[in-house]
Amino acid sequence: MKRLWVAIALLAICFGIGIYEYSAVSKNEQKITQIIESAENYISKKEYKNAYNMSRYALTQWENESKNLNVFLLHSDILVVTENLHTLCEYAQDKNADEFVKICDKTIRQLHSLKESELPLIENLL
Amino acid sequence: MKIITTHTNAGEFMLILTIRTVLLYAFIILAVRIMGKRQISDMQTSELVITLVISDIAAIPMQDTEQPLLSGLLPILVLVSLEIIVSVLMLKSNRFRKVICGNPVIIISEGKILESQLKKLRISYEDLYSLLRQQEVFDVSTIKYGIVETNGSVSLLKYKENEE
Repeated sequence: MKRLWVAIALLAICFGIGIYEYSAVSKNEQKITQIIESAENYISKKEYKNAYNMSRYALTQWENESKNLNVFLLHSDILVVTENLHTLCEYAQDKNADEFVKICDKTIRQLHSLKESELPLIENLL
Repeated sequence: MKIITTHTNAGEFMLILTIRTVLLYAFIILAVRIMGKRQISDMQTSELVITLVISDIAAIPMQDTEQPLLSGLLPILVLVSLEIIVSVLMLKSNRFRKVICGNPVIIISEGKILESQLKKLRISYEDLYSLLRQQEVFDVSTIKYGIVETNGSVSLLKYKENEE
């Protein structure tokens, strides 16, 4: 009987980890997307300095959170976003607005797909 | 631009592999201990399959450092938990046990092989004779009852000398 309770506790832990992972990915996706969108706004107003600062902020935030996310997600998925955020900073510095917007959209899509892949939907389950 | 790599050098990569393997080893030992002591030959088919699946799952994050260790640990934990829950339920309910393990099947009765039962179990005569020989039985007529247990082993009840 003791073993049964251990098993139920273990199952509960597994579900807990799953839910925590989803909420962590979801929270970070929202946060980083918002920062990138505001960086995109700055670049459209030709405010390159602010766009650079926002990109840098997004990168710092992502790098801080990626320590946590690496525990749950494929390391390569996290690395792709990190690389994109680095590129974003470079384009903001170079004042290359077109490429900056492209990378912004790409990164937002990647973040969104990261979040989507964590949802317990039929397509993900199967 | 800052170059980002997952592992800066081969030495670090090997160190990570070693540490992950040690962690997985400890975890598997713990999982097997929680599942309980049973020899492979005593396992039900489902238990054997679970054990094989666990070893398979553990191998993936052990070799591939791109995978988070949790992606291996979590399914193992779930399998171990389900296995324990099923085994406890089997102890509590005979009907549930029958659904999971099936029933023992008589294949030899009064010294005669029951062909229909052999067909149901998809056991050939050659396989049966081989199983009997492994139990040092060379003549079917010396067996009163032969039963295929739910774990696939064969139990034999021989005639007593004066009974034959």
